[in-house]
Amino acid sequence: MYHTQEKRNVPLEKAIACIEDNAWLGEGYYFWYDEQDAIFWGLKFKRKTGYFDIYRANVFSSNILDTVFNEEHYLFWLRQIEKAAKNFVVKTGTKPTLKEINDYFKDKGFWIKFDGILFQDISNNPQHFFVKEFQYKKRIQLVVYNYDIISNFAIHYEGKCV
Amino acid sequence: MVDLKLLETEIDAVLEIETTDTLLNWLYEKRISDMKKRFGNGLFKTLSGNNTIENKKFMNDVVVLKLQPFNNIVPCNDNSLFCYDLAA
Repeated sequence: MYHTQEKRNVPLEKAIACIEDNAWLGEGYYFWYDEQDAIFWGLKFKRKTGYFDIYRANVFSSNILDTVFNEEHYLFWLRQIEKAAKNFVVKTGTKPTLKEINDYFKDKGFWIKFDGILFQDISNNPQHFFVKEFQYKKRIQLVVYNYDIISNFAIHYEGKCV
Repeated sequence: MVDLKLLETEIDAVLEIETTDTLLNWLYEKRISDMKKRFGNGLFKTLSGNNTIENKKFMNDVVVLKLQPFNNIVPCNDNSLFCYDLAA
């Protein structure tokens, strides 16, 4: 799995947790499944220094909620998010924000029972697809809540923002 | 691997007992906590003029952050919870 960060003078020894409010699944260590997605992320969003670093790590756990390749896990995940969100709507009159639903799940101790969650969306990298107007490839990420499942974290690639 | 059926039962139980008041209280405390993390402790005042922090009718009202040295209070154009003028 791949982890994208701004280039640093001294390479990281450990992944950095994302604490942004718009992080899809709340605070955690985010990794890319596909190296090309990690590079594209660096090119687009790690531009402060003009360079970015891609780190590679092994991630092993039998306690990851796999919403990408496991149908049971995906349907479970979908049900919980929609139940909680609908609960918000019915009882508060408004939809929860991404941060609110993540904070809710975190404060209630739901997702933290997993070592991590594998999830997907669709890449908007134009070089990612060889067929016009056919986004056939998943953009897969892993959010890790338990750092113990990460090993062999090391720098893999240094990129220049263009 | 976590027992998904058991976890779903636990989640259902939590959602079941969640009332409008408990959820609004959670939301209110969360937002206040987030603002305090960003700006420190301060006074909170609604635009309607009610200056008690116990006023939790914030979903249709706006809680305004009044924090020294930021004295300017600006009206919110949307339904956001906090309005503040950092340029003050």
